[in-house]
Formats: sequence, C-alpha cells, structure tokens
Amino acid sequence: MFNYFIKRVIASIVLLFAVIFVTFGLFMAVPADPARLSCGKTCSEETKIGIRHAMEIDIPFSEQYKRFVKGLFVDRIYNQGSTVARTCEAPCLGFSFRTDENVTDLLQRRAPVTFSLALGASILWLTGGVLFGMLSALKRGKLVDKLVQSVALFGSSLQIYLIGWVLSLYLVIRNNILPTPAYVSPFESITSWAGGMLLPWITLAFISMSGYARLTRSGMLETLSEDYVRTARSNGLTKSRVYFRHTLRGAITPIITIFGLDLGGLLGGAVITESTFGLKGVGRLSLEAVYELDLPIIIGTVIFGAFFIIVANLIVDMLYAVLDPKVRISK
Amino acid sequence: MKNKSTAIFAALALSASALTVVSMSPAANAAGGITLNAKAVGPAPAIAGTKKGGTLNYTGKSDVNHLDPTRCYDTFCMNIGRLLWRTLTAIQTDGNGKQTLVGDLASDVGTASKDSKTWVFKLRSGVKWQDGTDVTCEDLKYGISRTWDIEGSNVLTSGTEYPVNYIENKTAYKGPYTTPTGDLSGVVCGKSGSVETITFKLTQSAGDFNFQTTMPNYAAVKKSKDTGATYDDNVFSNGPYKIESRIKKDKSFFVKNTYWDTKTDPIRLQNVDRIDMLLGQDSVNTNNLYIEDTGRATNGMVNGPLTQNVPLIYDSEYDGLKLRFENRGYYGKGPYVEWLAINVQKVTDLNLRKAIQCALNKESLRATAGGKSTGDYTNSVVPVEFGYPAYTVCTDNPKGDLAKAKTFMSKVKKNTELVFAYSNATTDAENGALSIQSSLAKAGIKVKIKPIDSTDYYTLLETQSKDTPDLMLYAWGFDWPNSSTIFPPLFASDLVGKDTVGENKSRVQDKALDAIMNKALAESNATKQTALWVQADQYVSNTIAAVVPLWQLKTLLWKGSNVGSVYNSISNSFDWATVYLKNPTK
Repeated sequence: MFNYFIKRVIASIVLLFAVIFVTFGLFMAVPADPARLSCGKTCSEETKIGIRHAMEIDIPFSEQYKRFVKGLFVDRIYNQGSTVARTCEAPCLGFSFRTDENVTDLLQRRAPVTFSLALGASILWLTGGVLFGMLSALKRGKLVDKLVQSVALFGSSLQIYLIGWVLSLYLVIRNNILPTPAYVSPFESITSWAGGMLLPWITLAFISMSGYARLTRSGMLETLSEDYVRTARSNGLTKSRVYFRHTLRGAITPIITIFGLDLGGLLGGAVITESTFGLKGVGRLSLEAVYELDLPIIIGTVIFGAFFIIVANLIVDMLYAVLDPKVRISK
Repeated sequence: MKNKSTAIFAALALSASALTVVSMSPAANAAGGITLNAKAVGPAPAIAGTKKGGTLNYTGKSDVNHLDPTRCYDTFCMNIGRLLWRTLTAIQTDGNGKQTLVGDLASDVGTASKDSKTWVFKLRSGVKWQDGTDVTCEDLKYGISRTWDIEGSNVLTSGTEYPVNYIENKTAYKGPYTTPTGDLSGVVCGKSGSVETITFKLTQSAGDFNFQTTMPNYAAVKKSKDTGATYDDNVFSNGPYKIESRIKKDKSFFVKNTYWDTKTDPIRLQNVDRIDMLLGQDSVNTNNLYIEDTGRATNGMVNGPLTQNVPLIYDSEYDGLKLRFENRGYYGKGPYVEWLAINVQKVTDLNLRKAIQCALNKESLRATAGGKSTGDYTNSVVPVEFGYPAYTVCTDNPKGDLAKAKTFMSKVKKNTELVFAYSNATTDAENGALSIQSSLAKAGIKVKIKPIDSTDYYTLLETQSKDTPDLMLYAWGFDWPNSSTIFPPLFASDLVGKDTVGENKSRVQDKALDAIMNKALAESNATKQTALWVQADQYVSNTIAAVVPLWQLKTLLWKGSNVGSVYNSISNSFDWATVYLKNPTK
C-alpha cells in the first residue's frame, strides 16, 4: 500500500510538470503578441522590442522554460544586470505582463475566495444531494420521488449564469432578500463572509446537487435490494440505522469518488460562478489572463488548478482503498 | 531619437542652435470648436444644483488599465486619473458642456515662438501635493521625462509617445531609471520675475502644442514618490482626491486630498467626500442594478455603455432607439467616427476606389450595426463638432449612387476581386461584411469576405503581409480636439513601413497630403490652421479616395438617479471632475 502511494505521488509530480510544459508550448503557438497588447494605442516596433525584452519573452522557448522551472525552487532575477532588475522569490511564478504584480502574491490573494466558494457550495450540494437522493430512493415511485427526480433533471439542465442572474435580480437587486455577493474574509467577519457567499453557494449547489441526488438514489436502490440489508432489518435494527449506517455506506463510495474529483476541479477555480457574481477568485483570474495573453498568470493558474485536481485524484484513490475493503485486499 | 514623423517634417526643420526667437506671441489657437482662456483661475465654473458630500460609487467589469499618468492612454484612466493628477494644461467643461482650454498646472495657455518650436508656460503657485509640499517645475519636468522610459527600461508601458516625438533630447536621455543622472535638454525650468516658468524646445513646429500638454504625460510626478511599475497603485496626488487603498481589478477607494485648493483649480470641484470603485463585476448584474436604480447604482457612475440594448427602447417617431430613462443617461453623439478604409497600396486604381465610395450602401450597412442608433452619417473622418464645412463624397444618398459607381467602373483597367476582412467577434460583423459584399457587387465590384479571429484582427490590419486585406472597417477618436491628432496619426507616409503601418490602415503615402499636414501642424493661426485641415480632410476623402466615411458613432452612458453631472464630449463620459450627488445623505 505504501509503495503504491509513493508511486502515485511520483506519477502526480511528473504529470504536473507535463501540464506546465504543454501550457507553455500552447502559449508560444498563439500568434498574438503580448507586447503589442501591453503597449497601448500607438506602438512603434522599437517599443515592442523593448517590452518583449523586459518581459523576457524574446529568448528561446527552451531557455524561458528552463528559467521558469528553476524559479520554482530558487529565487529568480528578471532583467539581471540592468538598473531595473527585480527579484522574484521562489516559488517564482513571474510577474503579470499587464499589471506587474507578483503572480504568487496574486494567487495567494485570490485563492481564499475560490476556497470559500468551493467549501460552502460543496458542503451544500453533498448534504443536499445525498439527503434528497436517499429520500427519493426510500419513497421510490411515490410523488416525492418523482418531484426530486424532476427537480434534479431541471437543475442539471440549467446554466449557472442564467440561474445566477435570475436569482441575483429577484433575491438581491429587486427585493433585498439576500446581500450582494461579495467576498469578506471570515477572519474579518464570519457573518459577512457567509452572507456574501450565500447566493453563489446556493446557485452552484443547486446545479451540482442534482447529479448527486440521482447518484445517491441509484446507489441506494441497488444496496437496498442486497441480502444483508434485508437481514439487518429482519434482525430488528431501526430504519435509520439500516439506511444510514448500512445502506448509505454501501452506496457512498462512488459518491465520494465523484465528490473528490468535483471538489478538486472547483478548487482550481469556478470560472463561471466567479464571473457571474463578481467574485475575484482564481477561476476569474485565469479567464482574464487568457483574454489578455498574460502568460505568467496563465501558467500560475494552470499549476494551481492542476495541483488540486491531481491531489484530489490521489486522495480519492487512497480513500477508495480505505472505504472499499475489496480494493484494499486486492492492493 | 525615435521620431516617427522626422521624415515628413524635414522640409520645415531648422537647426535648433540656429534658431533665433524673433518674437513670442500668446498662442491664439482654437481647435475643434474649443476656445482658449489664458487667464483662467479657480474655482471651476459652478454647476447649478451642486451639493457637497456623500460617497460616489463606480461599479464595472474592467478596472482602470493604468492610473500612472505616464502609462495612461484611454479615456477611463484619464477620467479617474484627472482626480489625482494635474497636467500642464487641461480642458475645462462648464455646466452647459461648453469646453475651454485653460492652464491647469500652468497659469496661462503658453506662449509660442513664431515657428512654434519654442513654448513657454508660466506655472501656477499654490498647487500642493497630498503631503502639503509644493508642486514644483522640477516635479513637472520629472513627470514628463518618465515617458523616455520607452527608450530605456520599458517598465512604464502603454502611454502615449508624444513627448518623445516632439521634445528635443540632445543628451540621449533614456528615462529616469536607465539614465538616473541624465537631463532632458528640451524641458527647462526657469523664472520670470517671481513666477516659475517651464520652457519646451521642440524638434518640430507644433502650432497646437498647448493642446498636447493636456495629455497625461504632462502631469507632475514627485521623484521621491515614484515607485516605477507599482506607481499605478500608489499615485501621489495633487488633485482633489487621493488614493486611500487600491487592489487592482478588485476595489479602489479615493478620499479628499485636504491640501488641494479650489482657488488654484479651474477644472475640478471637490463635491463628493469619497469615491468607491468596485471592479470585476458581471455586466448583466450591473446593468440590472442600474435599471432598477437600487443599491450602489443610485449613487453610481459607469464607464461607457453596459450591455448595449437593454436600457434602450424603440422610438417609432425617430425610427431608432432612445434611452429608456432619460434622466439617468446620455445617448447622443460621441467623439468617434467610423469609416471603410481602402488599402491604396493594393487597390491602386483611383477609379475603383471612387466606384467603391459610390456603390457602398451605407444605410444597409448601418442597419446591420443597429440602425439609426449606431450613428449619424458623415462624409468626413472628423467629428461634426469641429465645424468643418460640409462636403459630399460621391453622393449624399446613404443608399449610394449605382449609376456613378458604374461610370467609374467603366474606367477601371483591371477589376480584381477585393478582400474585406472583419473581426468574427459578433454576428453583426458578419452581417456587415455581407452587406458590403452585396452592395459593391451591384456595381460589378467583386468582394470576398474574410472573418478573422478577434485576437488577431488588429494585428492583421497593421502588419504588412500577403494576407493584408483590401478593405477594412476602422474608427478613430482624437487625443485632443484638433485634426492634428486625426490626420497625421492616420495618414502620414512615414507610418507605412515594410513590416507595419501603425494606424495608417489605408497605407496612404502621398507627398501632397504630407505637405498639407506639415503646414497645418506648424501653423499657429487658428483660422489658417483649420483651413489647412479642411483641405486635408477633403483630400483624403475625395482627391485620393482612401476612405469611405460612414458615421459618427453614438455613445450611451448610464448613471444613478442621485448623480448629478455634465456630459463631457472629449472624454466621452460624464465629467468626473465636477460630479456631485443630488442628495448627499442617500
């Protein structure tokens, strides 16, 4: 088991560096010129040459990549030897082409917004999805079941920006039922934090919940038909103990797997949700960087996102082995 | 020294060392309908209904690109930046929207030598930084010298290059970071009695140099407060407001600069207590907020249009769109003109170009862009506010004149297929392309339409390659309201190089046109200068048929119901310099 874990970690690190390499390469393949975008309305060729030099994008691709990877471990000095040389501390992800901000600092500032969004929304969709799925399974064929399935279908076919805008208009703008979405650090004010994130949580959870409800329902239905569940009931165990401890446990494994992957992806940045509600998280940052051809930020957000997805995959693999004895024995 | 225009001004250039200033006359320029006031003092003209106090909000998707004046080159940063920094001269807007050139850091509008190559300005006393110290001539010179960083370290990107193209630099100065002990020879601080003066020695005649000094490059920067690339977020103020805190693309707060004195400032008022900017907001939500006029929007300003059509309703009498809530917005002429540029390097036959001018159905093209709401037809690349005499480009019929077009076509020696390139960002653009193709086809002009990815579009237009199109749409707005910022940047020969053409999308290289433009730039007499620009205007449209002028674009602006302000046609926005809240306690 330990050897398996080590192998998976090494493979994950290799995968992360492969992602960085590919992203670098894809950026270089884009014909647009970041120096031109940085330059402004009138821009002479000499100015663009100077800007490319200042951005260090006039050196060969292999050298650019080499300096970048080295900067992850050792402090990097840009424009070394010039009067405007500047140091970027390791792990150095560079400076934004547009705003000159240190990319690591930018990510540190934006990450709590994304984490807050992911945390609240995921708790809501997991608990809500599982509870509704259970209810639906236990009341199979009844009105409740049909209602839950219909709402789940409706939710999964909606787009975040549509439901987000509609909820924003009716709950915030017109009727002041919910506060305007905004991020306030929980260390500043826990109530303002929760209040400001409530609408984004509800919106994201509503759409994601539907998948979990359906997954829980089908898992529960399968497990409810197992012999051991019938045995547990006939031995006099209470319904709640049977359903929660025995039935749900059997159905939860695939749900945890999907949850881990979804959460990992969300931690990389919920682009649409953040854009819809004006939240300045990592997802929004990555979108802006793509529009502005801001390579250092693109690479930084890709590493950030890839890291969490790879870690989530790793954890899910390990958790799977813990939850499912069959997997543990085979490993 | 990098000077794009050196070649075209060679005929007029005199050796600076041989120059004798025979006489200095107060600049008597007027440009684009703007008059001059050489004796303006503060306070700025009062606006009826103005009240003091309250917090003004701004809610929008994009942040200001750069608050650093050396890096600022769009109207948004100029609008907000003007609250923080003062330039040598500036344009004052009164309560009726009337605009006048006045001294800002200067107490006059400058005095020019006979050849307009030496300019002297007197500086205003009593202007202070946010720490209470005086703004000096050296501060202003330092601010101007920062533009030369584009010849040095290239830390301060994105601003205009006007000072570098016009001001003498005999010491190979490369900006304050690369040559920290260097001196910019073309800017000299002095004294006239007890009054500080600043003198500019130019490499070329500039009859409207005192309009150029309204550009942000001519703002003062205190050397000890210059933080280079991060000055964007730490601008040290001499305007009515200063930065309290700023996180780029997130939020910015401005509070009153208590050392700003209204008596020294003929442009700005300090009406609101605080300005609260929230950026990175979704456009649809922001638009809904403004329609409902709730929350932040009631005391809110925006920058430019939000989602285009939601706040507009169809007005059947006008047969176009009008503003839904007229007390909360402005929907009218803006400063931009749009035209179809003809690549004269590829479409060499003048008869073919004239045929295009006659055949183009502007009405049908405008319909694809939104109809009457898009803009008002024009025969010039110059805004109608400049007051130039009207003239005709082939026909005044917006549907075109097919008969005339066919007459020109009968003289065309070789009718080849032309390529019209357009940005594929919207379906309107494709419909526009089809409209152009179809209307020119009726005159026998074959056009192939070519969609280009929006990220590559402007690069394609300005580079010389085998893919360079024959026809393309373009629009332009002046940097200051004079044709000196329209014709030379768009049609000067020396812009056309082997690899790029800058803004000269028509690739015009015409010696006669260059001569007219040179003469106009050097002319300090307003009437004579205007006459020369009128000549240039008609030359571009009629003599060489390098463009098909289309329309002057309309502009749409929103504001909250509690915001009082005046439309500023130069910045194409509500005037941030004099904005107030009708009820400051709301």
